[in-house]
Amino acid sequence: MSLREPELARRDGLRLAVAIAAAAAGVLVIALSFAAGRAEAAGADALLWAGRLLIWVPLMLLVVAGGVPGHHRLAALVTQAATQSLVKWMYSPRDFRFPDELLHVRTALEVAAHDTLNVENPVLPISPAFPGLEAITDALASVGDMSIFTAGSIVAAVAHVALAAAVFGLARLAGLGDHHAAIAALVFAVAPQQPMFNAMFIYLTPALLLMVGALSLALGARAPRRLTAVLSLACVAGVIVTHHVTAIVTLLVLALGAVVAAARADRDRARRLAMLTAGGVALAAGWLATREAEAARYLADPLLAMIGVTSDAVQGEAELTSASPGAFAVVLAYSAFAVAGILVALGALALWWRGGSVRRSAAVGAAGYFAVLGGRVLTGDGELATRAMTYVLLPGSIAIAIAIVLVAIWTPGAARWRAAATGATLTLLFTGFSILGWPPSWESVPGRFRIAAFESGIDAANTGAARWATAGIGPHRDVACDLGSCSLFGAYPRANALADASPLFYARQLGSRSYRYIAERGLQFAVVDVRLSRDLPITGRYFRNDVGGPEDRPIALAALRKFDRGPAVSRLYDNGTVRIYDLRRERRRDR
Amino acid sequence: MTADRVIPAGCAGLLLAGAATLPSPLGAMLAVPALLLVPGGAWVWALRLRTGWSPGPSEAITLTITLSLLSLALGGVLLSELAIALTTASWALLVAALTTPALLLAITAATGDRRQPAMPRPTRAATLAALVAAGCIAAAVAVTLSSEASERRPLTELGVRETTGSERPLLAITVRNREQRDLAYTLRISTPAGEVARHRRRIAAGGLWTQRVDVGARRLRAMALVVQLFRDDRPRVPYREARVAPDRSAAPPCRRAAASAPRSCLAGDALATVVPAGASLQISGLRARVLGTRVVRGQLVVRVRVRNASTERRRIDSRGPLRLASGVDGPQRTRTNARVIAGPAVLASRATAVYRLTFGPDAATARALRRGRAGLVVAPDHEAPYPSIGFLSLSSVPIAPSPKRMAP
Repeated sequence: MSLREPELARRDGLRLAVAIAAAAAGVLVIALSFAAGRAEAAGADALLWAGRLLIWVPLMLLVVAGGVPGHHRLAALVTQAATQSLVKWMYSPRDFRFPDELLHVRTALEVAAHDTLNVENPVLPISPAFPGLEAITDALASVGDMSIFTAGSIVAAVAHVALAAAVFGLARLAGLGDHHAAIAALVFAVAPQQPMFNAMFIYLTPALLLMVGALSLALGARAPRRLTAVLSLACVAGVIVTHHVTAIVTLLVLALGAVVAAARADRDRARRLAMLTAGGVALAAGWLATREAEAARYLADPLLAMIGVTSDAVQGEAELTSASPGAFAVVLAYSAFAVAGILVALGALALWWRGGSVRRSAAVGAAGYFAVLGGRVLTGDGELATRAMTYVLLPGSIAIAIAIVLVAIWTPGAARWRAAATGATLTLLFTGFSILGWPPSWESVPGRFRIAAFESGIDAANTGAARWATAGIGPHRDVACDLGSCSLFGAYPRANALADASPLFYARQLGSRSYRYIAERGLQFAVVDVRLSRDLPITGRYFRNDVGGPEDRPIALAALRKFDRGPAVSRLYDNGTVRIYDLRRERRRDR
Repeated sequence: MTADRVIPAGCAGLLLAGAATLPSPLGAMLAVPALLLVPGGAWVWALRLRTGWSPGPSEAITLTITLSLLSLALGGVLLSELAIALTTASWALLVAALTTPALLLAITAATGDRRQPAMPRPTRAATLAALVAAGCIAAAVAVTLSSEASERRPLTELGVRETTGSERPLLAITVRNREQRDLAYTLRISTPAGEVARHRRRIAAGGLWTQRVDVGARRLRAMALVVQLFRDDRPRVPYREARVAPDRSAAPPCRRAAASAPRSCLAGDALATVVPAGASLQISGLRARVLGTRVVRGQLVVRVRVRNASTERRRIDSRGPLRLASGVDGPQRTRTNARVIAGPAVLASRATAVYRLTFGPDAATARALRRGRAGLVVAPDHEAPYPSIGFLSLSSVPIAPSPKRMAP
């Protein structure tokens, strides 16, 4: 047997190398798909799916196959996460484009400008209260003399890749072996928001790693006890200064673990978890006491939306009815969620039945899957549900992995058929979650510009205008703009970008009503993208408070050109598509 | 203290020092491991040696990166709360301060290093697969960068801003060529009174041209400035256009405005331009010249010759977005009592037409005319609808003491 060990090791090494090479080829196919999208050529979507499957299938087969060394499974998981970060970078290789990323770019630029984390961000007031991401990025950008985009992309990628290893370790703590833990980590890796959204430059990305690190240390890492106590409290502190929702989830999970351990008469663990929870709550209270009251207000809106009090606090896929994926894709996505639900239920029961405070905590956490789905159905808020899915699929993926293994064991037939069934189930989850994940199907490949539409609403024309405005109009100006332009102007020129000034844009002329509006809102500049008069917004609105009817017809060109006729309005910038008008002299007219 | 501990610790120190001191891109390449791996890795290494704890690969990866990110996040908060500026030096010192104790602990640890079993040597096939993977990733990066560059549609940016740093206000005009080829451009800066400056330059693809123009303090503030950019391969059509509006607060009331030269003035709440009789005024590609005025039964009749100097058809608004401002000593009063009584509604490109505008009769106009001291200002009326693309506006003529007849 010992004679065959080197041979086996070489064979395993070759399998891993081939799987990684295939995944790299998948990345290349996706790069070609994005190139086709940018050239507006046909077949970009088909190439994208080919690339995704080329990455997925070999790595998944390596994870589900028997007899693979644990560190090879770990390497497969890390490769999967690395390809996700690479694909995310390929989508937008020179600038951040997603609005949430640009909100954090603003905070990072303010930090870089003022050399302190105590800054303000009018476009996302909550962000400076949780500056962990920006602190890490500023450190890397300062020491390495690199741009915020480069530093932020590296930070997000490193955290995303490390999270794959962290989830693998967490699943092992729940009593899963390398094989099952790798399946759990693989399921989590393809959760709806995980491949793209959670790999972005947003505060959730490092916070997830810190949360899993804290939970791993608290729930039973093999490090010395005193050491784990200090490190886990430090990780909780890190989560608290990085992301509000993740901090709340972390403290809830720790409290849940303490309760379950107490119920199981696992007094030692219950005491440790309770002390950690209390320490975390004290740290959170202390931290929030030094911050603005924005935190409470910011968190209240989504919670109210969840219980149906208000529905306009968030925007999401519920509005994108005109751009929903096809019927087959929808059936596939709902099938994935249904199968996942069945597996979560089965796995949660198995976890509960097996006993142990960590497993039972995971079972209770996994049940949150149904709470999120219920919330989705009751409120109709798809965005909030898919974001919450990240948290519930952390224990949920452990339950799914256990259920998959149980089903495979109970399934009669040869081992290869069981492995095939496991692979097919995982592939169904992968495709279904990908369909409902980010980006939405209508912008799954970059290229075609769409007005006021997240990543696809950003191109060289409006980015160039925003870059010019950095020096051209200076920071902290009140700028009226559409949703797409505002996400850029809130970031690079550090403007107070107002996407709710739609009455100014819809007005057919600069009359006394417009002047009053300009004066009352204190508007200093207006950004006019002439494509507002050509394209309908796929998201259903050009502005946050759209007073027009953009579903039917775009804004009249005459309404956009009225700025050229205002005798005291300056047109400071023109690139043929985007124009920047100075309203300050016009504003003084009303005084 | 053994060499196998001192050497890695020294390497970590050199990595950090190199990252903080070397210029980009070498500094950037060193900074990533120095900041995102070394702080956490040093502590994991030290704890392994001090306590005999042996983390698995997933734990080691997780803790190394988690502790590194954690030290930067919490360290940044600490520095900010202590009011220490977040500069390259403070970040480097922070990371050094967090890493050095771990390295010292590791160097002086009594416990032996538990070495991992040696990894088997990769086979030739595995090496080939790794090379294929590296090649695919390199190709993907190349495809991405080239396709992203070609996605950007050609455009030229024209930007104007007033700079107030120097003694005289300057106009800083920037032109950026993103047309993906070299192009020659001409900049034309003009006021309603005529051209102020003209500059020409060839800009390489991706190049930036910054032109500072001294247009004079008074003129810059009190008159509209139009900056037109022409491409030399399309010299007749303005390719980009910017405009700096006159500063309303710098404009005097029209009753004080001398009519010896075109200038801006305030007519009521509207900004107008006073033009002497016989002088011409150019707005939006329309060149207007007042031919003369006369009073007929209390009505003021102004004859204006308008030439469409642009390459587009222009609609001359016959509904009267024009305003008569009359005032002498009292507060400015305005009335929208002008209407075009003669002249084509649409002016073809390069076409010329004569318009007769009639004002009044009304008591205020008649009184002002009788006194012979009123200035006549035609200014845009913001309340009027603007159905036209380019309309005749901003022309005026002073009224002589005896307004029966005026020299053309």
